[in-house]
Amino acid sequence: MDLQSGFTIASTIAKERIYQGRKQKRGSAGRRKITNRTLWFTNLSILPFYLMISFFLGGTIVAGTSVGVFALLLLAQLFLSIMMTLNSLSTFRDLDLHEPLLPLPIERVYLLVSLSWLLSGGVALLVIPLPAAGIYSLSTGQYLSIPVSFLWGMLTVLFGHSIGLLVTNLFTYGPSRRSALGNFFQTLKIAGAFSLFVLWFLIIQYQGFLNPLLEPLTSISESLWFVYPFGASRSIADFSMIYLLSFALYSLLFSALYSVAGRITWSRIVQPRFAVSARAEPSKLRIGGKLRSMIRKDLTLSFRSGQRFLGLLVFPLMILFMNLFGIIQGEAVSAIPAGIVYLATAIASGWGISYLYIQEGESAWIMSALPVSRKEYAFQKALSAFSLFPLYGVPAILLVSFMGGFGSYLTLMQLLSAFAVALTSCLIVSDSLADMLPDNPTVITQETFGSRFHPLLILLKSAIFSAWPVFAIIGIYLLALGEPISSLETGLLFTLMAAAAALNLSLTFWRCKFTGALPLKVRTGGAEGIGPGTRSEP
Amino acid sequence: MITVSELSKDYDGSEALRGVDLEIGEGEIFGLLGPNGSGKSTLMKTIVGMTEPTEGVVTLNGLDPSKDTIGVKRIVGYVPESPNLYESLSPKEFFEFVASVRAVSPDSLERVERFVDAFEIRDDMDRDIGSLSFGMRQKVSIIAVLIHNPQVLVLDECMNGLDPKSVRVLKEFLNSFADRGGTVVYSTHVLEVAEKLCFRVAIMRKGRVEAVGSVGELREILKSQSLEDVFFKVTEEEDLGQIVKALEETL
Repeated sequence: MDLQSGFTIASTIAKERIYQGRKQKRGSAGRRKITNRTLWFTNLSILPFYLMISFFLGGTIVAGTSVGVFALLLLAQLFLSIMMTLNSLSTFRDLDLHEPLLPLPIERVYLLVSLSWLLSGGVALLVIPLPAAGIYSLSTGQYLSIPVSFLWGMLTVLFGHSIGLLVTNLFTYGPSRRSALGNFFQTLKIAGAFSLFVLWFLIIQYQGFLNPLLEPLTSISESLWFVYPFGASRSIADFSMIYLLSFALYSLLFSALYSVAGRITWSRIVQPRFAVSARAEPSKLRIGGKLRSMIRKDLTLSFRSGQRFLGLLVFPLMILFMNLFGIIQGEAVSAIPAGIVYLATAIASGWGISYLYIQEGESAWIMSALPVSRKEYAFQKALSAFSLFPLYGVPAILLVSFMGGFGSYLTLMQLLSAFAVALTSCLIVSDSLADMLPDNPTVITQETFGSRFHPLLILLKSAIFSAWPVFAIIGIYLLALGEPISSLETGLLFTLMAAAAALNLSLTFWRCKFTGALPLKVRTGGAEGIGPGTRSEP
Repeated sequence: MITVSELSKDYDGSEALRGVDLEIGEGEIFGLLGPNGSGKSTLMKTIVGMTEPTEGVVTLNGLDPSKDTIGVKRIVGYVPESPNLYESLSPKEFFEFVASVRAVSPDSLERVERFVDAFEIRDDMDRDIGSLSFGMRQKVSIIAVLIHNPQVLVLDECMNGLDPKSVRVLKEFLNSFADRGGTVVYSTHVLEVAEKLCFRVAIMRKGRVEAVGSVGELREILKSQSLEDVFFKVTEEEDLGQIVKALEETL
């Protein structure tokens, strides 16, 4: 097959994926034909977010700090590539997009599917190291850094894509947790995530708590110069032969990995393998509460899919970024910079909500056919996300408390604040996303919520709306009384933060009109549905 | 009782339904026939409140789906054309989920158990739905809509993929459901099934209902031997000979 035909097929699959997500949207805008321009816009719409990450870290390079910071950018690129691949692949499977390809005489179909992934949003990932490399080049005069960073970025995206494919094969359609093997895999997943946390903790602990900025990354990159991404990070600034060889070596390695991962994934898509669990006891049907059963369904689906694994990965990254913020302020962890963990918890929770909606996929018609009002639906999704994602913040808070030498009261207040902020964020994001759904959706995908930039805006909104009372209290306290010194003053500050977060939660509950979704209320017919005429006022 | 009056549905300038009028009584099995794209599925989704009409009114036992969506969903059981279910749940978990959301009484579960045996899915109750065949999934989706003992059943080509025994079981059930006063709206492309099962049929074409009546009435009016002849006359696809000939020439 020639290159042009392959490109045409890939762009058709990309357009179809976007179209399937949008076709149920109300009005002509939602269902209009997906053109090449739409694909461009889909990729361009996400650019501001990536550029922001790059500038944020790129600025530290100009400040004359370690080149090891490129490793962070490449890791961010790697993580986003994995995340987008998992999401993209689950949509691809959900919508049975492989079926039209099966009768076509195409070799290496997985290449076209991957290309379609790039066209429908993945290509934007390539810009991440560029602004940082640009800033670095301007300050050092080494303009070769820009193309080299781009090449390493391409390899990183390819590597992330391959990992995403492999993870999907490991955890999606795997043995269910009802079998012994399934239980083993579940334990392995949790243990894996916990190990990552321990790893981050050790890095932080044994590197003198990352002071000055990013110093440990420098020392790590010096001692592990041959290991990706440290070698990649150094080669962006150092163009010696050894790094060129390293680039060639990793190109071969990642291409081979992709080739294997792509083939395996495609064969699994065509012929899914299911592990059938042995029935342990005679089935006995049981009925539970409406809200509880909807939450249980969400959590079960989440636990049995690869997305759950992804959620666990968020947690160590939170720890990392939380510490970066603390260190940028040039001090060890104290009460005030520790507040940033609330923001991270809020963002993680809000991010989890969108996953729970997208998880409905092509089965979204089931909820649409059941007597569940839009508010109940949104409230249930918020509670499902709340019961999963803020939990990752708990170890982060405990770590901050341990590092800062806080007592049990302050730790408790921190936990209360974090949970209040997280629940507020869940409610706000869920309400916003439910408003963006078409009436009685039969399919929900990423594209159902518009461009990729849109959910990010919602996350930003949720973070601001849910965490503002905490930061407002800190600001007011600092202005009025200055930095807390005694444990009594710190205790007062933390108590005020928790109270403000709880008050904001109550206000959000009332403002988003979730009172009607409470299971305590007796519904008397004439209820609103996910269907028409049920949207909240803008 | 279902009444549909002057119902229209527009998708971006493409009219899926054009002024449809129907009246379906209690205790009736009503068949919807028509070529692909004739508007059957859109009509069914509008009846159950999953699609908002552009114009016109639908009522189910006095309830308007566009005003009381939840009320309608409480009394209706809807099976779509493709049984896309939660693939990593087992049928048992799926039934429990539907029963819990519909808040049925524990006694209803006994009925589910009987359907499970009748449709012979007992051995697959703990398997992932994703690992089941199309027909088995269809059975799961059919049982799930019967859990809450609905007053109205809207079934979109639900016999596709079912084995002959299950088809027989379903037909028997639908007859007894109608005998007890339930209303069934059933769409199919298998004209023999419609002829034997449905009390009345509507033949749709390009979003309009072109003919309504019992199979006998339609045969008599259109002076046709079978429902198949009636179908082709109504949908203006009588001259299939020329199409077949053109195809042969192409091949």
